[in-house]
Amino acid sequence: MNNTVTLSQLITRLSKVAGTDTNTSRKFLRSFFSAIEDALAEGQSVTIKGIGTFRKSEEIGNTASQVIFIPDEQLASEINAPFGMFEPVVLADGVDFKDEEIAEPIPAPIEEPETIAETIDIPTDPEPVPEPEEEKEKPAEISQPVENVVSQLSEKVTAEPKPAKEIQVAAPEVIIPEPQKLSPEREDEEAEPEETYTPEETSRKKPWLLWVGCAILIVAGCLGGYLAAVLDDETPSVSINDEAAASEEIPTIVEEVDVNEISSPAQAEETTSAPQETPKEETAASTPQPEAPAQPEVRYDTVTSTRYLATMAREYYGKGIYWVYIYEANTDVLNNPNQIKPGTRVRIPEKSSFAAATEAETSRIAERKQAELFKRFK
Amino acid sequence: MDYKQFRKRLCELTGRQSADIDALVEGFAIILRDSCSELDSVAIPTFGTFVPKKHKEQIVDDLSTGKRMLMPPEITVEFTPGGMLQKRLRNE
Repeated sequence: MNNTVTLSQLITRLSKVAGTDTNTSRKFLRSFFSAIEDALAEGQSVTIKGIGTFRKSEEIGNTASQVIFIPDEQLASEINAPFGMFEPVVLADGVDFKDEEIAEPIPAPIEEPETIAETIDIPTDPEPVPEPEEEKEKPAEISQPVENVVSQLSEKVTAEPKPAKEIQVAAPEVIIPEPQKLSPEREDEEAEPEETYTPEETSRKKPWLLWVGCAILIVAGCLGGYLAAVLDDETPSVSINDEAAASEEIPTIVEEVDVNEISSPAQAEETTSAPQETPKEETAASTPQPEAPAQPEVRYDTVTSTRYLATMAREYYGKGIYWVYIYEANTDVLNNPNQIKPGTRVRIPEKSSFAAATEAETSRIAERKQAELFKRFK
Repeated sequence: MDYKQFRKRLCELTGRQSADIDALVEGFAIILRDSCSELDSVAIPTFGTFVPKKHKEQIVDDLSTGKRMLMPPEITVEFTPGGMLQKRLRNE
């Protein structure tokens, strides 16, 4: 690109293209151009196929070109092949590509007083009201549009692109600090610019406020949950078995149980006690006392239609929620705690075997186990 | 002078057949086309230089229709005669 093919290079290439030797190519080119020169000198035009037409110019003068070359159509189209697909386009009436209008918007020096026009671009207030002395000396056509611009600014009109004469400066900055001749409207507007930054500052602060609010909400939620958990530990929970047992009569087995307890201490270490089972079953219809002494003794009991694990736990341990411990001690015979068949014999474990350090903690553990069982056997 | 007459003159000058002249002229045209497509000039001493020029797109007014048209860019080839040729033609 932008290189020059010399005669020697031309000869070499012609030899390759035409399939001849360099001498033949050299002689041909010499004859070729001399023939053209002779024809032009004779006043004739020469048309060469695939190249173009050489014609002597009729212009007179030492600087005028004496030869006019018109390339062949095929040659011209092949040379212009990269841009051959483009075609002239008719422009619409509203389209304006004049260089003059394009050149005008070029940012002029900021010193000019027409920075007021810049304020039009800036929707905020027009601080700049620069009118240096030099600009004052400039023709009146600048002052007039400036006044017009100021009036527009006072009305807070977002000006459309004005003609280049009125608005020549596109730089948004204002350097001139001497607003000597300020109209009263401008003076009022000067007080405002400080306020323009407050929205930006407040907007920057907002994200921080949002984060702080979110943190406060999270902390409050955690505290509420903790308090709720603590309160739940204190209040006794009622299991399904308890609810079912409450709706039914509690069999009065306390007396029988007491009897069994009295008789069973000697047999507390024994795990099996069949004869003790029958009196318990017979006392199913009796009315047992709700509060049975929770004696840490291993004994057996039988589930009936009116006597559930919660009933037993309330009798032996004082709390119905401890039924989960009875369940855990009898997982070999029990599956779903909500579907225990009447007549199922279960072992009542000692309270010391599952009791935690405190009663509250034991209750909390029992509640957790209960929730897990309910979740498992939903 | 048309091409036939020009070819006849070349045959007389070079002593070659018309077919050979056609091949050589076509070869020169190919070289000229390839060089100008790459915006490379072809310089012939004492005769002149074939200079390719790239014209940018421009807006022109169509006087016939009165409308403005956007002309696409194009590459054209121009010939600049050499000093000797200019001088010879100016004197004659």
